[in-house]
Amino acid sequence: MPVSSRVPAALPSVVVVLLVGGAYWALFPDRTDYAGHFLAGAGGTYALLALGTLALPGRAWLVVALTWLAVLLGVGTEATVFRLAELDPVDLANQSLGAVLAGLGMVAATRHDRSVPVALVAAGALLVGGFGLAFA
Amino acid sequence: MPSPDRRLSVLALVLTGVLLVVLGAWTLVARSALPLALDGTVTSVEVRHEKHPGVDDVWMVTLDDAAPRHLDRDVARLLARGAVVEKAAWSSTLTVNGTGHDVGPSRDAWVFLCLSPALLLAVAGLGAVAVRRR
Repeated sequence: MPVSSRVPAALPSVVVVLLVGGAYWALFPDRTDYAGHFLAGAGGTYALLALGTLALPGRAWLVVALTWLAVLLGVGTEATVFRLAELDPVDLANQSLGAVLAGLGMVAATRHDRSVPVALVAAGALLVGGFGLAFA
Repeated sequence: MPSPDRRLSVLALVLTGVLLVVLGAWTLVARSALPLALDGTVTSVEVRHEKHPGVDDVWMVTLDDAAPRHLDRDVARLLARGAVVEKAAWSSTLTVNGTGHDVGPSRDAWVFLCLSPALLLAVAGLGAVAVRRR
């Protein structure tokens, strides 16, 4: 059954991101950075994809390309400015998984289905929450 | 009916997500040394601090001239410079200076392994929603 386009395409993914982030937080109580990386990865990607959808809406492959770009930017920042003890593949996996869930939420987004404002609000909240948890 | 372009895009993202779940799970399990074959002499055991010293410390162990390897704290604490280490891949016994020690996945590794089906379900579910959306 087709999913209604009255709901912003990004909204289900935001709900899933919050649920998965909550699971990370509850299941790894000593490692809140796992949840932090996951949420920040999703937040940064929502921001990038919101801008991409505004500029070139309805192009699914652009969403894939920008999601992969977000993953690579995450690798770059983890390897440089956020590198402490090592470049941790677990941190990379968690933040990149957040990016992929954001990408899946935006792949069917259009300029007029309210996904862009949803993604921008989610981006701000998830980036603040993610960094807060990562460095708590 | 979604375009083939969207279907392929969703497939690419879903496959990326699956690879990332596997990467996270494998990395955490490998730190237990369980899947690793080890044979050599420890040349260094180094503790590197992360954001929360004592909680998320990184224990790097070097055998002979190999690259430093991140191991779980409980495994690395069995080792010291000069120790002779032997272990077969997927054996749960790590032999240090002739004495066997049990090794296995950490709590974090078990939790991630248990969480992995939910992560894969999240990826697949959002993929299905994206494909079915008008």
